[in-house]
Amino acid sequence: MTGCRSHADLIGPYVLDALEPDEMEAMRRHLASCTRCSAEVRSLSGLPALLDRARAEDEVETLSPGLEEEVLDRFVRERAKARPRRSRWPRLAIAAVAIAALIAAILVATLPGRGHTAYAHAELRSLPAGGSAAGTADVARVDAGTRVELRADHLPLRGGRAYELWCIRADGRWISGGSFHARADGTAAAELTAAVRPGEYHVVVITRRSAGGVRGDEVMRGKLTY
Amino acid sequence: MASSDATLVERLPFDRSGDELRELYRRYAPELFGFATSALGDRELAEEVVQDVFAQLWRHAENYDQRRASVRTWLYAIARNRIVDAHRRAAARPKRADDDDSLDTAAEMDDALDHAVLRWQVTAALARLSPAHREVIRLAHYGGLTMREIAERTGVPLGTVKSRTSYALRHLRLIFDEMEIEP
Repeated sequence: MTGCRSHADLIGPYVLDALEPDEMEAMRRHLASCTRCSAEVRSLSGLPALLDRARAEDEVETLSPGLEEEVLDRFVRERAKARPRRSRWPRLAIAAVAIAALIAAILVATLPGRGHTAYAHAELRSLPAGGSAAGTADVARVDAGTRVELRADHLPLRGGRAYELWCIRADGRWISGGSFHARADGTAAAELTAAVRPGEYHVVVITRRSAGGVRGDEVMRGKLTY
Repeated sequence: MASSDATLVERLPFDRSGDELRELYRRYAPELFGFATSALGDRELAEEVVQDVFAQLWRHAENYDQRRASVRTWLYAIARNRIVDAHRRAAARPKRADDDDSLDTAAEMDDALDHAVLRWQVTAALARLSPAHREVIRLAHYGGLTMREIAERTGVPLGTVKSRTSYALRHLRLIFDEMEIEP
């Protein structure tokens, strides 16, 4: 319900005690005789106390963009490490499946060109903040999601050895693949697993590790070739 | 049609792609983060709490019983425990001379967390208003200005400031209703 036509606009200022003293008094007299306005004042009268629970300078904090992928990354890593559930299959069935899997593995291993699981590769080229850094990223599908195998050398060590790998989606969104540390000689070898779908990502970027929700400087990037 | 929260939690033990977890994260992480930031006053600690809440969620999804609590209530309960742990860790550290805001009892902690939830909810409700509506409420309620003073300060006609304030409060009331917050 809103107030009557003549006083509806004064209800909000009245509830917030923000009218001039003479207007406040006139509004009080009006409320004594107007059921519409008095009903609306009642419905809004609890708001000032509620507003007092916050502060004027409070703002809605936004989550770091990379946190979602950190959570997903932790999830897939934990799932990958988790022991398989105890099966209720009879032992005979398990043995039959194991033999079939062994035969299949032998067949796959002996087929030419089928042993390599990577489905995309990127040559990483240095950016201004990366000095003479160079590297490669091989992307493979694993049970837990997507694994990126990273090899890098000549990573700049001044400013810290913590780096972060990112995949950029076709819509321009950056997805963190996790962080890694360069060795003292500027080389790095890391396997990072992320819950991303194959084929969604076309660019791999290495940055300094994010801090306080701010992405670090870009060090290298490369285009994935599928 | 979007899956219900309870359905997503039931599927979590079999979630190999992370899709169910991602959906739950997008539904609840922002408000849990707001709650944790409000309670802890520290972004990094609040993000740790959010991470831990979702880790607990996927580890214990099999134990979830929707007859006992909604997913939202469950997640807030986990967040509360994590925030209490963070406060305890902070309390265990040697106190500085100016550190007079420690929480000594469980009741004080509960009060503080209830206050933090409400504070975040009010802040989030204000954030949903248009900038013009938010401005008049900030100037009138938090700034203590009258309608005339707001009109002079902002250059907006007095009649517009008054009607804008009334619309802003009505809209805010609707937002609180949607958030199931009783004034």
